[in-house]
Amino acid sequence: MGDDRFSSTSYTRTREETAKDGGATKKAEQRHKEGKPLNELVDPAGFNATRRSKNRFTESGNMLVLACGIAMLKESRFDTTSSMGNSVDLAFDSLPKSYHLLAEGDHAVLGRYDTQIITAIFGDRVDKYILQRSQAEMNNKIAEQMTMMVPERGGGDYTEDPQYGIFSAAYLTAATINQYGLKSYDFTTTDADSREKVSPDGLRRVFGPEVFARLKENGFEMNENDLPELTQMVKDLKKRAHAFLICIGSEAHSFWQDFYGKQHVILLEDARLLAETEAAIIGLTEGNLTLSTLEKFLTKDAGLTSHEAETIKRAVAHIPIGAQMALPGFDKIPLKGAMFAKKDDLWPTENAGEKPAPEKEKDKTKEKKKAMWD
Amino acid sequence: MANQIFTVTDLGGGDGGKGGVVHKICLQKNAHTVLKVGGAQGSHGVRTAFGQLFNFSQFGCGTFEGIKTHITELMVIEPYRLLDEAERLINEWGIKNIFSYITVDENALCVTPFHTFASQLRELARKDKPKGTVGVGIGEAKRDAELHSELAIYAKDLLSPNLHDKLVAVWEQKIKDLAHIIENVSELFPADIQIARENIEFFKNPNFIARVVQEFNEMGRRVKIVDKEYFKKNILDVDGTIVVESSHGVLTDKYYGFHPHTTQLRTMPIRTIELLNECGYDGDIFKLGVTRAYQIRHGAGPMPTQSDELLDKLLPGSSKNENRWQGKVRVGPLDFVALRYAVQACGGPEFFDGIALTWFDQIQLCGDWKICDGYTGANNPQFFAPDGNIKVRHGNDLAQLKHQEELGNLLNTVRPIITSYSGIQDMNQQEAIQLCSEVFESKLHVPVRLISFGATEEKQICI
Repeated sequence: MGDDRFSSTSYTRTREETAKDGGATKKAEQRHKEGKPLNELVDPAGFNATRRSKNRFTESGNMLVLACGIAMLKESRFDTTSSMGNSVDLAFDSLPKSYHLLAEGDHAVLGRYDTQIITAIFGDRVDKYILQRSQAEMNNKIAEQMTMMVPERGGGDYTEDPQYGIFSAAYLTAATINQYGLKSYDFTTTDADSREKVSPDGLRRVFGPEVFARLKENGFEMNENDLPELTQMVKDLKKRAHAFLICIGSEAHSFWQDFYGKQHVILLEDARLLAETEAAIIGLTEGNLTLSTLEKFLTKDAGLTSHEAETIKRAVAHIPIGAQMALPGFDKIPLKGAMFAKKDDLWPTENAGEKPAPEKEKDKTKEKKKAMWD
Repeated sequence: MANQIFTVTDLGGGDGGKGGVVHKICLQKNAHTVLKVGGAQGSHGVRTAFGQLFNFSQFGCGTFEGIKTHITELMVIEPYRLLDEAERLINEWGIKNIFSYITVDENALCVTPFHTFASQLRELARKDKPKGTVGVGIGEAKRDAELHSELAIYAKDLLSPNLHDKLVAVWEQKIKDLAHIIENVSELFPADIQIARENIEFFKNPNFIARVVQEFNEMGRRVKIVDKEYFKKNILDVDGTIVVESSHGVLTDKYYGFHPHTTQLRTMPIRTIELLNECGYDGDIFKLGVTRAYQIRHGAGPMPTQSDELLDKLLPGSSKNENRWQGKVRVGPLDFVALRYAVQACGGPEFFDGIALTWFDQIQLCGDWKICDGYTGANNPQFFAPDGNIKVRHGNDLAQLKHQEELGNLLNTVRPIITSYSGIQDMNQQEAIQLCSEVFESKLHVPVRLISFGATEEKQICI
């Protein structure tokens, strides 16, 4: 229930508090040094391990109103080892802009949905926490849960362990958006290779002793002796999410291309423009941006320089443009304000089964095809 | 599953400029594979900004960009020419590993040299009533496969121990089919008698078969021949973009073209779409129609707007040369009646998502853009609608061929009504784009999505 969203006022409050502590995650890092446990909200094992992104409603008489559109999940997973140790700080600092581009701005790329965000960080298997993962949040809890994270900033070896995060995105996520035939968005940002396997013990360590029961509850019954490897995990993740690997620097670029495919690996020189890059990718995938309108979006809405906008455009030009639009459910989702009988219903009561007028349908198809061409 | 597939269909009689369009889309969309459908006789010219120039036939037009080619079961291949094309790509452009760029469906039909010779002999025997052929033997092989299925040689047979026996059987069949021409060579045009005799020499030399076996085996060894499952899993299921490159044009389709000036192949884009659906593809397909900014036809067949006056102005730059089989290239004002017919035969304006308009730079050089939007003399209600458009008849039988032949004969009698847009040479690119968009939107009801202002990719402007 509810319709509250992320707001810059409450973010500013959180930011002021963290500033007093010395940085976005300083307080949590201090707790960690004192031997205190990870906050359950960002512990991947917390709250039964599976992360849920569901529609939210407000009550109106005996009906429920879809307050902000259907839930659209975006999960961003950051490497926090070595040179990427400040990833959470960067994400925290750019959160207001990121949310503006995704959900609130004039040309918000996810404007028709209720944007829900999971933030995750991963390290190396020698770290205490291989993975930390927030809940799917849609208000200031996004920022609060970032501050609960403990980036260990270790060097480890060159190969990192994002595979547990990718595993959780593929098998320990339940997003309502998938039930409409659409996909959520998933970004992994790293500058290094990955190990390709997960172990039963590793899964228990990260997601808790009941992990296999949780997987089964979420529809994935797994044999401990035959766990999916990275290739399969990415393949399964792509079934439910538009999944992209953002590679910082070119060292691991070809490694990730083998797993994600060339069209889903984005090469950036550094992580400064991450928020804008994610928004660009989502806008192009949703079909509400084209390569011709992207530059304007990035300069006007995101406030980047022409050079920065061009950098992003070059980096994302090869992705499957309009991929979300091409999915059969794209034109049929309930919109903000639709009335529902029960909170678990997928379809509103008033216009269930209603089909768009043929002319409108035709126009939509034309738009889809135009986006495909652009 | 592939995220997006682009089909490229020539809306004329071929030679529309598909090569450059396929190359451009490959680059623009970072395609991973070009699917080939149609026949091996295509000559799809690609000129890149880096100075590469090649007329592709059986390799896809994305080859310079490292994009793989898959020859589908809808393609008729010519093993001799494929090896030759590969050899040229290696020697002229240094693509050493060229065979790793291509896969061939095991059910792709093969043309033998006997089909080639037969096709050429038949055309010589037509004398002053040419059908219009590229003389490769695609139609001959296709027709034989329908009439004598036991003689058909597919890619999967190239390494078969029975290949020699099959080739002997094809040879014998062709000798039998052409007996009347072979016996009456002296009745051909004097200039053709020598060509015919050389062909017959080949025909009658049984040792030639051993050489053919050797070449076919060579192709079987060097090219990866795959089944439909491979196509589904390793090509169609791969994330990314696929471009479908077809040969010929709608106006040379066996049943929608003007019989007998057609190919034995089906050139309608629906054939490709059916194949994709059959393989489980249910994603979006962007269907692009291609036409030059002027009418062109290489080979016999009706062409109401044919203009000798425009020939000298427009021909420079074409990769098509005069030859004995296709004869002279003919050009004329862009024929919107023919374009509307082609679009309607494919399913109407809604079927296409866009038009690629090629060779507009030649129009800019000419200064005037001449188009035809109607014919005088198009009065027969069996063939023409009251608004002057050609009625589309659907069918795939002899009655359809008869209808199309009569239609073709009528098209030889109509006269085009020409409109001329002047001052094209003074227009800047934006003005030219606007004019083309307006003309196509109003006359064809399909948006222009690409205009070529030159041969190389940077001069092909996507809209």
